[in-house]
Amino acid sequence: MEKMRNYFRQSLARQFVALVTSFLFIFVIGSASLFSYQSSLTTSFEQKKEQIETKMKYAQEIERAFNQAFSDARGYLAFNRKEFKLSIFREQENVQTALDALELAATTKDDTQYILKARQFANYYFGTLVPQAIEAFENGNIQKVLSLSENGGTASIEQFQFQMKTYKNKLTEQLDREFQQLRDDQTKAQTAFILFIFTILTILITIARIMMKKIGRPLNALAVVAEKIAKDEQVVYDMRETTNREDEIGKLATAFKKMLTSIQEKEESLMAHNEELMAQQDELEFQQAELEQALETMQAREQQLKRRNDFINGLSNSLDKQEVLNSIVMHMARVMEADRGMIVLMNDEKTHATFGLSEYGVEQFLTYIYNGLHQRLFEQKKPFMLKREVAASEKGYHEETMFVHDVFLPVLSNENDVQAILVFSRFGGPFSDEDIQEYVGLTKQISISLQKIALYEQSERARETVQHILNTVQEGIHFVDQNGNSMIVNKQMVALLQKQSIAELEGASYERWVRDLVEQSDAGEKLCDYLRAIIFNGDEEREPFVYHLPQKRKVIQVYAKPLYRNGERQGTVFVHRDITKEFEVDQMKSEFVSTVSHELRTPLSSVLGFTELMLTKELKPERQKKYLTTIYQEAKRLTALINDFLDVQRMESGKQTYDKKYEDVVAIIESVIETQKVNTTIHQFHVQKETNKTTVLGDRDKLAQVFTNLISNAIKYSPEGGNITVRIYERGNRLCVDVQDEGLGIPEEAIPNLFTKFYRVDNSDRRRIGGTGLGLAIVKEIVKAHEGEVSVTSELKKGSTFTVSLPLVVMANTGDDERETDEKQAHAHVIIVEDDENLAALLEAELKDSGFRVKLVKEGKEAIELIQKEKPDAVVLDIMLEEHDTSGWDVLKALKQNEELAHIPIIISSALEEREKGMALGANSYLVKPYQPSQLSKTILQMLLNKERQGEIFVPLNEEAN
Amino acid sequence: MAKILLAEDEEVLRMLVVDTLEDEGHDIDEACDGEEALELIKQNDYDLILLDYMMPIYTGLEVIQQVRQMPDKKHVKIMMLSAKSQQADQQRVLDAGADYFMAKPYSPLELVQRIEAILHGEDA
Repeated sequence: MEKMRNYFRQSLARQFVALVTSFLFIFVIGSASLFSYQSSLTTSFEQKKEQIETKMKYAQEIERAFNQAFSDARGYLAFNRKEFKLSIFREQENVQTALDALELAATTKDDTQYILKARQFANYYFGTLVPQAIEAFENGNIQKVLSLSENGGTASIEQFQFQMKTYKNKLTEQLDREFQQLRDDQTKAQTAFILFIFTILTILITIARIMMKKIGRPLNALAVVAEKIAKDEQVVYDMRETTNREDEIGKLATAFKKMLTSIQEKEESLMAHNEELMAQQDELEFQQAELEQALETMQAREQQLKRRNDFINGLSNSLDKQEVLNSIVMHMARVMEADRGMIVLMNDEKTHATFGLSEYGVEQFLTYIYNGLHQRLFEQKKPFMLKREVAASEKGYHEETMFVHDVFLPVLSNENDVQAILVFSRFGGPFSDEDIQEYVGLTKQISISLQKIALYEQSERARETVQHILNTVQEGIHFVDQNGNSMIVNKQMVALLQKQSIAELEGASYERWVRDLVEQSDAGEKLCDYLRAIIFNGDEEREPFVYHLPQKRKVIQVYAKPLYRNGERQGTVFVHRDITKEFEVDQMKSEFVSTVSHELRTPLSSVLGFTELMLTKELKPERQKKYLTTIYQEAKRLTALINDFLDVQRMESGKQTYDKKYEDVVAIIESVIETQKVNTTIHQFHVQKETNKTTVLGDRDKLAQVFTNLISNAIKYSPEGGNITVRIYERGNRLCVDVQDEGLGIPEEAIPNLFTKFYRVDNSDRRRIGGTGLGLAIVKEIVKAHEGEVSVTSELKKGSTFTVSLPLVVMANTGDDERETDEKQAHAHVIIVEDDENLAALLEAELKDSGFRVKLVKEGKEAIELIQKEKPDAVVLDIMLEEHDTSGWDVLKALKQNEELAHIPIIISSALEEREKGMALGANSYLVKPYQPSQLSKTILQMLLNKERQGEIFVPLNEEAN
Repeated sequence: MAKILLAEDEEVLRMLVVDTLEDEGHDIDEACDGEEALELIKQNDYDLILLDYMMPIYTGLEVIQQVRQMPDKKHVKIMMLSAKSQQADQQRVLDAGADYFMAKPYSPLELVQRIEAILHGEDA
């Protein structure tokens, strides 16, 4: 027992657990007994209720059976029906059975009494009353029946009925009583249970309070002590009572006491230490204040340095002038803490940058740059400061008087010239002398920077110039350094490598540009070797290298020159020259030489061969003659070949001169036919002239050559003979000549090459037909020189038609729209002085067509006489008059000296290009031969119209002009 | 006497060679172009064929190439007569299968001497 108490005393937790356990135990017991009592109450009630209900059931059955019997008896007596009588006795049995059952269930005195009375009544009713009544009834003694009823029969029945009812009521009351009893008992039990709970709780609270007191008080005491210690109050606490305890509180108190003692001991040493620390802290705080001050100074300086740094960075960040100026203004303003500022370069463009200034202000400043305050800078070359009142426009919303400080700073070059000026304004306060000294230092930086930019711009310009020069060179120029890397290229080189821009090629590595070049060219490794040998092996004596660019169809020759500076090799300059033309010319030349040599060797072979035979062999005279004829023909062929060949050469090289005059094509053709007729007997010639305009401007001999070649071809290539038709017609201001034969025809595939030198149609029918293969090439060249065209259509075995078209000489049109001028011209009289009959006729026709009256004269003297006689409205004058020694110049002079004739307008028509001289001598117009005749009419007409405006009147004629 | 074919498009030159060789007693066939030459070569067995280089239809070179394709004509002797006398042209002709080459203009007597040598197996 003592042990157990110790067990609990040592631990509050154990005590608490025991307390809670016992409470729970008592609570469970109480609840269980309440529950069992309640259930017993309910069971007992249920039993009684069942008993009473059983009794009730039987009582009701008895009542029902009696009542049935009563009504049956009455029914029988009233209606005399047998079944009622039977029913009466059946009900008697029911009553007996119910009474027996009820007797078994009877529990109270009331029950027993009721059963007794019921039996008595049953005996009376069934045993006496009913039999008597029935007997009397059956005997017809109704009187007796009635008397029976009146003499107690009915009364006893009614009395019994009442008893039955009373019993039933008693049963009901008993049930109610039992139920009431049950409720009362239950209420009592519940009340008892609540009381029981309440009692337990009270006990529990009491015990808890005692326990709390036991735990709380010493804890509280400890807390108070701890708090006091925390508050650093002196405490004396007697804890003997608590420390004596064996439970947790006891242990805690003991530990607390130990701690307290220890704290008190330590506190003293801490106090001493603390004092020491306090002293140290004072020292530290003093030092910190000093440091903070130093830091502030440092930060300010750092800020300033940063601004200066930004300023310097801004100077060196870019080589773009404007960018640098912007940076200068911005950073200077920051360094100076200025509100606005500006820098202006003293160059031609007055390049400038501003900060915080309006456009108008800038413009004004620039306009008066040599008149303003800053003029002082140019004179003194020293910075200065100004204090001035702020102008209204600058003040914004401030009302009071404000002052602004302006600083003017010169940027001096090495030569002490003012290179740029800086102006900065500050609203905040004046600038100190130290400040300004500092700014002067910065302007030196600016000066250096500006000079650097100037140098850069200069070198950039020089570089651009060099690049421009390189780009104007026709050759691709490419400079590579010692490592073969691409350094400088020009536009042509870029195009050669099919690159987009110079930048793409400049700086390209050796491998890259060589690869590009080799890919483009057809020379491959050979070109690579060539470049490598020059760049890396310094092989300076290499011959130029030629390669092809198949894509561009170009032939390029590249040569290299090493570049030395101070005797040290810097790299190599490659020059890529487009020699496509030279190359093609070369190739054509060698092809041509080969063809010509072949063409020449054939007749030469014959000449030599037959001559040799004749020299070395004894030959019969007829064979000798045959050989000689052959030699002669072959020699002639050789001559023709050489002539044709020389012609073609001269024409192709543009060295052929054409003596162009107005020629009638028909006359030329007819004379050619006359000559050609001799060579054939099997051909018929026809000339069809379908137009009258057959004059062209051309070289008679060369045109004759054209038609000779065409007509002789027609003869040669129609070996069977036939018609050769020459048709002359006009097509859209061009004169066309068809030469048509009925010969072999030309295969279609040969037509495109027909006019090529030495081209011979490869056809067995033609091989015996001789020729140089140059005839049509010559035709083509001559026609081309006459601004004409030659074409051919042909059908095999049917013949060919060659068509030459030449520009017709244009005559002024005389349509309705020119009627008015026609009439004026009709009156005008023109004398033409011209010794070339063809030309004279042509001009006459032209002027007549245009409506002038015309007279022709060949010689100078004759002309002067005629003019004097006729006084024409205009004179057309040739200068080179062959027949006599009076030249056109003489005629002109003579006319101008004669007052009567001096006003007549003179148009010089000459092959000489001496316009100045003619005009000086008084000619009105100068036409250089050959010219289109229409031009002459126009010139004369223009001249006459001008004259009319000057006051002279022409009377129109009424006759038709044409 | 030998049977010889001459293919040459220039009539005058044909006359020169034919006259010269007939004087020497040879039997000469004439062809005016490559096609005709090939026909004659197919139909006849010639001791020697003289070919001009520049001929219509087939050039001398083409004729040689075709002849050398024929099974029974692999060894027929062919001489090329050409105005193209450069070394490279000559080599091309010999590579194509010609046995001999003579440049134009040639001397008829020299040609006769050369042909005699060939026919007697003296010209290698």
